[in-house]
Amino acid sequence: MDLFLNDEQTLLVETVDRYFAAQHSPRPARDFANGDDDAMGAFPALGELGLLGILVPEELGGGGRGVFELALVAEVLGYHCAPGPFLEHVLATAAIAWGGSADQQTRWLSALASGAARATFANTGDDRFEHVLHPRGADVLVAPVGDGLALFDPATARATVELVSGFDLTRKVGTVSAPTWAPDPLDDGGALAARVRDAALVLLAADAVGGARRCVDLTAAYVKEREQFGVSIAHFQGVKHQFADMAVEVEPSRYLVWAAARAQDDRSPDSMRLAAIAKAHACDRFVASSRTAVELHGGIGYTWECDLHLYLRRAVFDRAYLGAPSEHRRRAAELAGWTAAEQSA
Amino acid sequence: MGELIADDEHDVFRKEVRAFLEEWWPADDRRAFKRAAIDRGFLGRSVPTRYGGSEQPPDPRKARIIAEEFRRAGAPTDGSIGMSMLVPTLLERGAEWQRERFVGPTIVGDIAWCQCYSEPGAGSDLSSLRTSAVLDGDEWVINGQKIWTTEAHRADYMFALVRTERDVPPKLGISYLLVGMHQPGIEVRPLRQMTGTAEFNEVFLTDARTPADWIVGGRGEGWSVANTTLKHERGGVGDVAGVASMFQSLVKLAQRRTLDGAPAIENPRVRDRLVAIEGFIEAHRWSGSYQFAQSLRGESVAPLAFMNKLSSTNIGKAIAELSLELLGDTALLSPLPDGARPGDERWLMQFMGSLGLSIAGGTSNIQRNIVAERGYGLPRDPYPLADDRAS
Repeated sequence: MDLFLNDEQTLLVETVDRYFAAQHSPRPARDFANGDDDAMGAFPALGELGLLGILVPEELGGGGRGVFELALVAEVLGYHCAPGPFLEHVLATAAIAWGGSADQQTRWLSALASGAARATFANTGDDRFEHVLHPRGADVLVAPVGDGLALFDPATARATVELVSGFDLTRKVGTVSAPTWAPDPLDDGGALAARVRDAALVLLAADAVGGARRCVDLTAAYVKEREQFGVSIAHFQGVKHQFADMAVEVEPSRYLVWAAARAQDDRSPDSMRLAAIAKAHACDRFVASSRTAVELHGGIGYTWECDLHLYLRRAVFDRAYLGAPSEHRRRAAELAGWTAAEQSA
Repeated sequence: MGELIADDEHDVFRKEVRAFLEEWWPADDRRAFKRAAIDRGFLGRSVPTRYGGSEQPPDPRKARIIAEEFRRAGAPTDGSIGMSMLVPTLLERGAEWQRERFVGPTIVGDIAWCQCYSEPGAGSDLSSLRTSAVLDGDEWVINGQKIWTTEAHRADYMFALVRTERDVPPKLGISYLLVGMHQPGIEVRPLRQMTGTAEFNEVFLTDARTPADWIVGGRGEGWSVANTTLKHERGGVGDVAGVASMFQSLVKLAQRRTLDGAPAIENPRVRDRLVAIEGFIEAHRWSGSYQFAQSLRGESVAPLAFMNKLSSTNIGKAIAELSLELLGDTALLSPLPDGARPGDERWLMQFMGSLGLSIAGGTSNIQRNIVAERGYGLPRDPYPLADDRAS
């Protein structure tokens, strides 16, 4: 089936885009970077716009939609370098929506959908979880236990939260230690963990594609405006071609991510593989295009005041978080089942 | 699904196409096959029946199904130079008598065409072409040289861009002429590519002649007439089938080769590069899917539509580079041009062919210009400064 956005999806994208454009993005990212440890960035607005509950069933106050819609939103947030909690919150929400018991869902999903409660997500660890996003003040943590996932309440577990100084200025990262926590398990199989992991890869890829497209657009605008040697530098073929190569690598990658997101909702046989390929590909493109964007901006591109480093830092984060591209390509190769041909006599 | 046609209808259609192909192909009589396909509405779809086509309502999904199934069966399609380039041009800009005379025979393959645009001195800068035509009574007399002319040795006619007007800007001095190939004033010389084969030619025109009314469009309108067809092509969807199929062959190559004493397909570096290439292929595939869906709805596909050739040729290059690693010292052997030798050295043909594709039909640097200028509004390349202009 061919890819396209229906009217509802188009409206969703336009609504979110309009909101952040009105904020003169990435100004909110810059404000967040200058703010304190408890800054929430765009999170409250995302709650008000109904974006946190996209995966939550309608009867629990959510949008009753899928990973595709969530990825579309993630892409717009990536485009605008939207700061603060989102990714880990919606992933934890997904885990509960897909694998929570009736009680767990009743307790958490409405509040998570509205933003009244905030969740985060750990992908490694036992009682000490590293690289947790926005851990301070989270009401619930979804973490791996054995092959599955479980919930716990950091307050009840008397968890210690320590923020680290992160390279990405738009997300807070820290460690959560809770030696005495009692996990409240979600679905007991490994299937939920894999499904949430694949959704995470797709959402990261979507963030990366959005950010990469912004780098392309910012560069197009800059080179058309910046004058040297009597003309805008966009006239020079070196600039034009370097820009074109960046655009040609970035723009089609958007549709790979869309396809990977839709495959999650279709639960198609190749969805796991496509998620891995999308994460690897999109994150490589974001890092590369953020660097090219800086190059094409010249000296000003290298300054703190220029917005580009906000994207470059986010690109590095997206690439490193949940596994480097090479790791996901390795997984994709395994999933392909590629083996040596039998030697003929 | 809103306004998109339901899938069931197209599943039924695909079965119909397959049933037709099972009945009619393979066939010794290609002309009879084509006539049958036209009668069924599978070929000549965009051509009115009065010119010999099947005049079907536009349906890109059906068109795509037909293309896929015919290609799968190895059956002839509407892919000839005449069908893909000349017929749409005549339908849009030709005189009625030209449509009546040329379109029908072209569809069934009675007439073969070649495209005479490029010249030794006019490649990327096509509008600087110098082949000229002057009116002598009721005939054009044409002198000049064309190059890279595919199928010239098999063509009955050419459609050519020639200079007919003086003292106007270069693009306004060009006319689009139809010329018979079989005449003393036209000499076709094969051009041998680096692969060893001669798939295209030089065409020398020495007082070649064609009737005065074998002009498509008016005098000096040739550039716009030629661009009419290019506009249709450019709006088309990038086809991933070629590179996807090449990738599958590359995987098979890796499955049967060894590297560092172990199966190449198990080598981590090879696996990483394969999946990295696959990322670009899937991006190309799904961007094509999106472009197709958008075109069905009459929505814009810029800037994506300008990126298809460059994306595709970049993938071809990456495949060629990895194939070289997989070949090892098999790359010391020469592939025969016709691929008769069954060894893996035949991959060296793709190594060369992928290079040719990045040059033909608009070089990669021209594509980069097109992406930047038409896709993102960067300014067009300036005309040469007066001091630098060649005398």
